[in-house]
Amino acid sequence: MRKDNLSVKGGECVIRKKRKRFTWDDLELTLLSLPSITWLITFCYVPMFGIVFAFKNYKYKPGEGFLYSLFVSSKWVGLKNFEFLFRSPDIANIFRNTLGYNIIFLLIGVTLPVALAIMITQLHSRRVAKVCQTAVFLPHFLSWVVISYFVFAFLSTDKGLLNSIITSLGGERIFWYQDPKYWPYMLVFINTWKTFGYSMVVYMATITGIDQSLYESAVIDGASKWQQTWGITIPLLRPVISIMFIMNVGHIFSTDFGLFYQVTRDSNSIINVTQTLDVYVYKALMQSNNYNYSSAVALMQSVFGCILLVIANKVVKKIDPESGMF
Amino acid sequence: MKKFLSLALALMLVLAIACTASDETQKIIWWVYASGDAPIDTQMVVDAANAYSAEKIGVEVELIFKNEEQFNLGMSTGEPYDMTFTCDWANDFASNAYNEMFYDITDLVKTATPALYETIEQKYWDVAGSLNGKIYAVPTLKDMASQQFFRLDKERFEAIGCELPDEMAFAELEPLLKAYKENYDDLYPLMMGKGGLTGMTNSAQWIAGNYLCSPYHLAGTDRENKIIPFWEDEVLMERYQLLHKWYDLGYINPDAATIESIGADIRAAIRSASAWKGYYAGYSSWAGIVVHGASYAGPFMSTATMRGAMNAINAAASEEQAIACLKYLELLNTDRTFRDILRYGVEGTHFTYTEVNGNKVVERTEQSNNNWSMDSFVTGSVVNASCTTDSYYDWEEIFADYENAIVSTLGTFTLDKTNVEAECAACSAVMEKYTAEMLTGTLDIDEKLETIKAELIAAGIEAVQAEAQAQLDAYLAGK
Amino acid sequence: MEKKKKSVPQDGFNRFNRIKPATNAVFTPIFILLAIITFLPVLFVLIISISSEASIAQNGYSFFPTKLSLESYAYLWQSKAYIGRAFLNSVGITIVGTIIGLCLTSTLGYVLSRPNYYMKGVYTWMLIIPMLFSGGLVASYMVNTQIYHLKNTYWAMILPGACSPFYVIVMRTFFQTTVPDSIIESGKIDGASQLRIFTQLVLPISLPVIATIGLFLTFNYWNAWYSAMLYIDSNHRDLYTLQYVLISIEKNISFMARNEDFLTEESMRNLPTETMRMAIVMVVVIPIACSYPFFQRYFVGGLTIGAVKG
Repeated sequence: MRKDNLSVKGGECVIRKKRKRFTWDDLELTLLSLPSITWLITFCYVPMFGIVFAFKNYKYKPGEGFLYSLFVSSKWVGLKNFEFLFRSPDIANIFRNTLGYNIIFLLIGVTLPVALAIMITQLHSRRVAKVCQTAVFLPHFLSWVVISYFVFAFLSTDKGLLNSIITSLGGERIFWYQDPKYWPYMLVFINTWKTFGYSMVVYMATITGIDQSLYESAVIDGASKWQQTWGITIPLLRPVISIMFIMNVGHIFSTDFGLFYQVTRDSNSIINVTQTLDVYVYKALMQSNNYNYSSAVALMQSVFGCILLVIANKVVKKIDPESGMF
Repeated sequence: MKKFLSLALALMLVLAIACTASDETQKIIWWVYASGDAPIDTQMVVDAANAYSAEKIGVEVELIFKNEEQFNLGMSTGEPYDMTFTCDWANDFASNAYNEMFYDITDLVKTATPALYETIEQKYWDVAGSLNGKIYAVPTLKDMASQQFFRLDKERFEAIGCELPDEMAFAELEPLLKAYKENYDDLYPLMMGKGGLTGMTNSAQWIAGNYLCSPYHLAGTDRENKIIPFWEDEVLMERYQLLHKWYDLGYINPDAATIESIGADIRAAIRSASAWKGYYAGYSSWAGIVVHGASYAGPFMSTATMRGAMNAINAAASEEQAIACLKYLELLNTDRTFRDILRYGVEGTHFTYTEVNGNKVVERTEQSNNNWSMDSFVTGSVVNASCTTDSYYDWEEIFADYENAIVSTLGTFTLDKTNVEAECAACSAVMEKYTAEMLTGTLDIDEKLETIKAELIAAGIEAVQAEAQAQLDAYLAGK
Repeated sequence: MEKKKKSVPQDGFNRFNRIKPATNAVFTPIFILLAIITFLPVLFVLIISISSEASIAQNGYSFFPTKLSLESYAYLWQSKAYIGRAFLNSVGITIVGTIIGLCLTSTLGYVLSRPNYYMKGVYTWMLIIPMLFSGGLVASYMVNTQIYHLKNTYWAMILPGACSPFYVIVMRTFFQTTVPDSIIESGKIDGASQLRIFTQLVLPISLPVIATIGLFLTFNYWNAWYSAMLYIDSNHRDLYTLQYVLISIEKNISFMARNEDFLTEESMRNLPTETMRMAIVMVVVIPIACSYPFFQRYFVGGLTIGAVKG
């Protein structure tokens, strides 16, 4: 927060930023955060020179040091490393899938877990609440590979549960893994199932931290449960919701590889609705193991994500100046 | 003062001698391949091997197992090593040799370890271990040609009156499938996973990914030494068409394109494999049933079949280290006792020597199967190791049989992708969209071919083809 | 400040302020259904892990296997010395990692939540950039192995993931919204240093968020196998973590199962492939799921009551 100073100079109003002085307090805080900042520099900033891979044709030369190979021996290739991405005839489709799914996940992610978190804190039976809290977290532990087996047990053509039910009711069995039309819904459902417990916990922690006296005064003023929720709980959750939202916007070009590759079993027929950027890159580079290319794509995801993050932050701050990342 | 000085001198001399004396054994770091984790008894076996090799040639080894990802990362960042496993399916030999990551041993192997040079035939040095006329890796002797077999359930087929030939054409499988389907309803006749029938695409040499090839059957025709996209290979296309026909007829399991593989427990009527003559003889312990092997293609020999396993030396190694590595490989290739240690484990704990039909063979213990178990080519020559009680092969006979193999006309040619890397990546991605369904017959190749062609052309397959053909022509002209 | 016991919120005011029983009757089944949906797959994995391999081969995965068997667990039990060591490694790494992670995350989160802090803008940017931009695998591998010499040490598995910017932001937001300024002010008036304010005034009332981040860190460390694969060589197997050991057992099995068609001279033993995979999942999931109630204790409300006087 800037402290603005109003001053009058020769008849004009001038707003001047107050120069802050480095206080004793600041020194203490700096020391307190020193270990963390050191960690950030050591493990995040030092390796950041790796971004250079995106613009070079890196080839290690035995006998030289790694850094020498990277900075001196390898050639600059400008934007050529991005070329393979745009040679794909599906590139528009890939971007549509990536952004489309992520937007849906984003919207669900800021509504469903919040609503559930609020609801679960209101349950009468604390025992049911505790059991449910533990249960909803379980999907987080299962890896995508395991989930793909579970899904396969349901959707397998010959022995899957769904097809068994359908045929016993007299219908024709469906080739689930070959039919694209069901997959967008299934993928959204599966992803929500896996991730909602995780965000719910964050919101629940925030809710339990809310000062109870606020509710007390609201009740005295005659507020109903509904009004309490909208008047107290949600406004106090807004900062957390908004930063979760903004951070997910920053990652909007990245997808969870396991969901789109392993759960779909990499089935060719449904690829138009399941192939995202990360899956495409994996397939393109499976044979050649080219770090330059994968770096280029990662950089592209980061840059676009960063731009969107800044925009999202601005938008959020317009709505609610207290929220927002910075 | 003088006394003190002379004492100090004497002491230093003694120390110097002591140091050099203990410096006798050279240590080399050897990277080998493991898909998952290293076997549990690694330390035990390596200690035994080191004791033997230190005594014989003064070299000890530090054995590190790596998987594909670890290989790539280690090679890319310059992690120190002396000798490494390399082949065409992991830690790619051709691209590493191009980039001068490996030591040039052309002269060294002949002068420092002539015995090693003798054990491997000239043609294997030339085709497998060399690039552009220089030797960069020591080939591991194993099955050097690839022959495609159908492994058939002998009992069930003979029970319904089918005759099982030793050699057959791919299409001749159909009557067998039909008969099986009519008589048995518990399993699909032709079960497979998303990789399709193993080895089916080996009837052509693959130049770039799985989209540009040079089929063996074109040798001697006017299309010899031409690199063509896969749809111009009639043999392969016929197989894809047949597979689709069989898929529609219900001979192939419908979910083939989405499952990893058919588990070993399932009594699949037909499996496919790359093997050598005489491999399938009678009872197969893995299948648990009596099997019959029918060959439908091959044997073919090319860089791909010969480069299945090799060992290369780090270009940054000193000459002494390189010689130490070569000596170690020489010991592996000439000394059977030593080879057996690294192959089977410690004698007594992991195996014992017995005799079968007058041949000295190895009988493995339970501990060996659990704690020191890997493919034989991982630690060295397959040919030089003793055979086991349940799988005896006469390697001399097998190698003699290679005289009849169909040898590739392309020599040691390998595509240098530097100029067409982006196109290659894009084409790979396109092929990955369709390959599982093509190989399992799920896709109607006739229907989809135009689409696939169009996508590959948009991705740049024509540029790759032109580049590859130009390089091949230059190579053949220079031979 | 006393820690309130978990059964507090049900008396007095809260009882009065509950939702209507009708609403409760609607909410409760919803959550029971959610609990079933989320628990079902875990139950499924458990059932497969105790099915016999033969029944899986015949009928595929099913909730009602034709035959039960503990062969997969027996197979894992054979390697118990090896797996046992990995288990201890995982426990050690998880505990140390979580503690270090919490220290780093909470201190930075607190510092960034102070509105008048001089370096706030700079540090916030320094925090956000690594969240989006990264040097990539090769660069960080090279830095960690050749400059910091972390290869084949426990630190390679603890340090790199210790302080995630995401968690720092969550903590910062929590401190900003739920810790009343008056507490900090009163501390300063009493002449306490920032460190004392942090540890003695702020932390005790921030238990929910600390428990949350602690939970996430615990899970991350427990499940981590990728850093083990990258930084621990095969000849230092006594440093392996549980997840990595199990994953490599699984990879070995898959490799052999896949290569059944290829010619490998290793005789195919009857490995319980499918059931083994699920048994491995169980071995990893159950200990960590049991640790969840430990953290749940701290999701308590009302810790700020009485903290602000007057």
